[in-house]
Amino acid sequence: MVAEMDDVRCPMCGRLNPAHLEVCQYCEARLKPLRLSPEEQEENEAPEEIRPDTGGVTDWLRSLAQEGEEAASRSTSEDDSLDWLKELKGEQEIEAEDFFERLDSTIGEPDTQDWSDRIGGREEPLDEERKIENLFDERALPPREEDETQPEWLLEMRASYAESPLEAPIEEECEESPGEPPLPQAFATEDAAALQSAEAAYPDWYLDSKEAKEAEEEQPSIAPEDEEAKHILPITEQPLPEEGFEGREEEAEWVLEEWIPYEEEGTAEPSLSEEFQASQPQASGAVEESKLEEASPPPLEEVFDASTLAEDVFAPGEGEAKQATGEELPSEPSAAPEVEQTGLPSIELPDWLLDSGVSENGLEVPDWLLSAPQPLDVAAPLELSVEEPEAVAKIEAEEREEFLEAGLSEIEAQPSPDWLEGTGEGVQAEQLLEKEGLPGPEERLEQAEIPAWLKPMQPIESVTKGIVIEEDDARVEPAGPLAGLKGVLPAEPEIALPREPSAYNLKLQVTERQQAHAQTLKKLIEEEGLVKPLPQEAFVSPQHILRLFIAFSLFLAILFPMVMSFPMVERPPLSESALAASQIVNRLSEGDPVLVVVDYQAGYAGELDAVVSSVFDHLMIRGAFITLVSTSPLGALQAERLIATTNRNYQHDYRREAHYLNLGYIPGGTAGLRSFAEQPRLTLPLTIEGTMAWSIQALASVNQLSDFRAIIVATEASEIARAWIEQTQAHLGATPLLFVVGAQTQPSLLPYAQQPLPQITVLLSGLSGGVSYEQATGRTKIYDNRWASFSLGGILIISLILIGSVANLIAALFRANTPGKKAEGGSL
Amino acid sequence: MKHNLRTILLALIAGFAGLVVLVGYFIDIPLLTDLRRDFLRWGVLLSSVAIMVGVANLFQVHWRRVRTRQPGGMYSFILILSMIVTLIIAGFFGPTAASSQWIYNHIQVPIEASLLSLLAVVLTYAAVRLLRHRPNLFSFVFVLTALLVLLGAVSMPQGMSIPYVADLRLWIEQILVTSGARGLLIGVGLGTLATGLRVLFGVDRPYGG
Amino acid sequence: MNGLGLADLIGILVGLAVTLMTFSYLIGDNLFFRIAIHVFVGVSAGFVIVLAWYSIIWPQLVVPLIAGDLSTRLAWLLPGILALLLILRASPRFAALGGIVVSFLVGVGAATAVGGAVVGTVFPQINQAASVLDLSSVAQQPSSIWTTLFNGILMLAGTISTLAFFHFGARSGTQNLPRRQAWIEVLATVGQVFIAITFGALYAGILQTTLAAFVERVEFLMNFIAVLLG
Repeated sequence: MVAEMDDVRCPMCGRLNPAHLEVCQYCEARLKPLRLSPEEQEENEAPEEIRPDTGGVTDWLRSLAQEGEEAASRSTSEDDSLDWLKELKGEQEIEAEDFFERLDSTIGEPDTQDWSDRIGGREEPLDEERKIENLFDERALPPREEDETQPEWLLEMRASYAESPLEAPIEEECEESPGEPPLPQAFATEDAAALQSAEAAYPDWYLDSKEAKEAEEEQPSIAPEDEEAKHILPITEQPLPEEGFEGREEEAEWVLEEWIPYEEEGTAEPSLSEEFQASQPQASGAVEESKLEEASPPPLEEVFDASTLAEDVFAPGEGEAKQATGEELPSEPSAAPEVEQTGLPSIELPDWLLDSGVSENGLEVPDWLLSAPQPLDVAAPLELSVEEPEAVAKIEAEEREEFLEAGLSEIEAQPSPDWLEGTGEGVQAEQLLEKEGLPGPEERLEQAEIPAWLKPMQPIESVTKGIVIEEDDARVEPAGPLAGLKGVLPAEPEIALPREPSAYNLKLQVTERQQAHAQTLKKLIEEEGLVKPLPQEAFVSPQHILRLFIAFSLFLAILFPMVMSFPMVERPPLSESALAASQIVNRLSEGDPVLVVVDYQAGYAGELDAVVSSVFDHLMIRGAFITLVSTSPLGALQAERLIATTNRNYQHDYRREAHYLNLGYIPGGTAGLRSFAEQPRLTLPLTIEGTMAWSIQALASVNQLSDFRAIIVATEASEIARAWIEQTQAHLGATPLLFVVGAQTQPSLLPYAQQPLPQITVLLSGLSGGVSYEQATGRTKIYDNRWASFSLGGILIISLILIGSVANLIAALFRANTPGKKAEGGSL
Repeated sequence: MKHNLRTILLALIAGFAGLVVLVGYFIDIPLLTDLRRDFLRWGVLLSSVAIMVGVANLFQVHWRRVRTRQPGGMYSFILILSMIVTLIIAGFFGPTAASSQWIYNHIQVPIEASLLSLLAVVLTYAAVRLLRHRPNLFSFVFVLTALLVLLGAVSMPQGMSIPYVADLRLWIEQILVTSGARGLLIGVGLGTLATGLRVLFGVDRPYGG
Repeated sequence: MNGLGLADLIGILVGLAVTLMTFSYLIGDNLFFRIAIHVFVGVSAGFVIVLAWYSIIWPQLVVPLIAGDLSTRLAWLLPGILALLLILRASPRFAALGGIVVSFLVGVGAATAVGGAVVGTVFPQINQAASVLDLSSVAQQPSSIWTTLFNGILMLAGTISTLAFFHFGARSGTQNLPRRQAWIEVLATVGQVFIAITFGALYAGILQTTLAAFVERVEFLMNFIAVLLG
């Protein structure tokens, strides 16, 4: 959508303003100059295949951030959820070559205005994204001359920009250069005041270095600004011989070694000068571009404009400056191809760089950039004019001379930042410089200024080729007060153009270890959701046969004593616990209330029914009034079954309410138990049949737990037994507490039954306990019917386990003595 | 904000109810006694309602499987049928009625007892193969203890009794097993204490929020 | 037959059928086994509802609210409302209201668990563990004093070492791997032996329990055959 000619759309807020206004009536942003409409612009522009992208730092950063997503090269609106787990996986899986392909294809797109904006774009961006997009869009704005309008965030960016050994001199160049006639006006009027104010945000070490430089200014040999100009201009505007940079590769390693572990020491790293050269093609113009390529003919992958990248990262305003000069900055640089080209398996970046959005796993849009609250509305700190090549060449020649005079001492005199101090590499690099004699000015510039993390980011040829400056210069403003002028800055059409919303990657910056953990977690979660097909077990397998053999032999061992009608095994001796339990029951009189807790499942009836029945038999003999209760739902039914079984097996006639009653089920686990222990009448006021429980004569005197003459807990679960011990302990008084439990529960209750401070009066367990108790009461029911079968079955199990264990031990020893033999063979 | 308020409210309810009950274990404050007992009774009542809600959920899940003809829907139908039949018979006649006892004695007990019987075979099988998979000291100690305890728990055939086995089993149980079990019980108690206090103070909120 | 009624006979047949269906698992997972399992779950669920209703809900909630006097009704009004909220939890729309009841139940349950553990297990068992070296109690033992002392020391060592096995405090060791202190490591190894002994006894107990259940099932089959044979 192009704004109507009557109205001018504000580049800042995007609102329409009357054409006569020079500043936006809404946000007071400057509305002029304008630039060509897109249609006219297309006519004047270079052929599409060489037209560079206007993407600045944010573009490529966003492209890198998109790298992790498979939808990077597609413009369809995909789900760009912030599921960082997915992104992590995608990021690991993506190949550098794929990235290259996407990169090339994207560069090759003829009508790419802001290619990264198209990636994963959505139709309706979120508000936050709109803010960010506005920020990026402001690259197209003309540079502002009002220094005081610089927002704080830009100053902060400059501060971080100044942290770089490369950028610091550039900043100073921006500050110091206005007085130099050869420099272009845009450069000369660059935000000196703003930069001065931004010094407050500079780190200490930078300020120190700056003070040191200012001190050096007094030296007559060379002015700092001249030196800094040498650091930039000779390189950028006059390509140097390739061999001139070779020696500096080693020197630059002191930076690289710290951050970037190279696989091969001899890897031909891109020289910093190459990067820097390639970064300044716009300054040298089209003619210079050919020299650039001559001086450092990079392969296609190396043509990445590293210093542009750096400048864009730390001083986005420079992008504007370049646009102001009609240049189109190369975009879509990527670290990934560089990593591949230099053989870097991974790049370990310094913390400060990570903080600025470059993660270990790829470059991302830095947080500070994403969270920038205001659009860019200031001029670039550095503008390199292409309109005065002669002046630039002059500066270059002068500075080269001065540089040669200054020599290495000045570099050494420069205070190094804190983060470089104490590293042996810095000293080593200086020694290398000394070894090679006095280096050329370009070399010194690179050594002192270009950080190593830029090294792998090399210029891309296709981008370099696309820089055509004359065409931008040839633009003629068709409308507005600047109508007829060439090279006016683009503004309104860029804003007004409809664009696909961008999808911004808000990936977390995570370490490799965190990634590994995340991967593991993700894998676990995914596997949890998968239905794992059970391995199809063969119908006839050794395990099957063994299991069937055990079952069949056990069946026979149990059956045999039942068929044979004579006693086959010895009678177990009377145990102390059985004797103690029988004595307690013996002390009961007829009608004494006894609480019996039946808290076991139906499956355990085979064991516990027999044991509890023997106790019930004794209780019925004594004529005790049995009060049944349970904390497991089916316990109430089991209690009724027990009474019936005892009546049947021992010829009793115990009837409900006359001799016993069933209070039913206490829900609530420990809470229910506690409630029953504290207030049995209120907790279970009715029987399970719905009659009033406590109005029965036998229970008339029972108001609390201790009023029962004995409490017998029959359970198979150790936790239920423990709950009864814990919850009723304080309410028992002198009432004996007997536990009739399954054999599996006995070991966990032994500590409670031990002298000298037992919490359980008697612990009777298992079928053996039942047989023993029967001995105390003179009964032989269990012994006659089951004990022999139980014993023979037990003996068979012991034999099987013994044989199997011995066989497996022998097999294990055999395997241990036979190396190479598989552990799974040759045993049961 | 609403979420936080709800969380705080739930934590306060749990903490208050829990502390009122917990205090009763150590100090008998007359002012809190009735409240504590009411809380406990309410807990019993609400637990039974919760059980019914749980069973209703079980019914709902299986009914959905039947209605949508999912795999295993036939089993779900059998489950629902068993549940409804039991509900009708035991609910109408009462849980202690002969019909209810018939269901319990002739369906519930045989199935459960058979399952437990199967466990005997499986456990024996596992013990036989234990030293094959883990031939180390602890497995050896484990198997040896199991064998000795089992040997002491059964009676040998006439005239084949092994002397001192019963005494050895008794010593193992009374000394070694008891000490180990005591350590486990104290550990469980301390774990319960820590977990319970975390719940009472709202650090863990198993009730959501 | 032997005085058995038709219901008993049918019951025995049904019991035999479900027993064989369950035992069919020995030859692998199959249709009959699954039917038996689902019948078991269904019957259990039905009984649970009936017992909860008969034991608690009917006598303690419904009857007081319907037939109770005013004070009784007022006393049970609040738990009645809470019960209603709990039932509403089944509906997603009102599930949040049920959270109040669940938090109440959790609070009460946690309190009883904590109180019971402290009063019923931790303090008494620590006291019991310490008492094994109490000379006055040792003197009362029937065995010799040296045997009693030996057993007492053994029990104390077993208890402490078992607890030490579950001590998970660790320091940073080599390669930043957590590592327990050496003396705790030794103690934990001893504790592991005691734990193995305890679990071995538990395993033997489970074997006895399951074996008793097996015996009961075989006895049931034999009784059935006896009934058939008259």
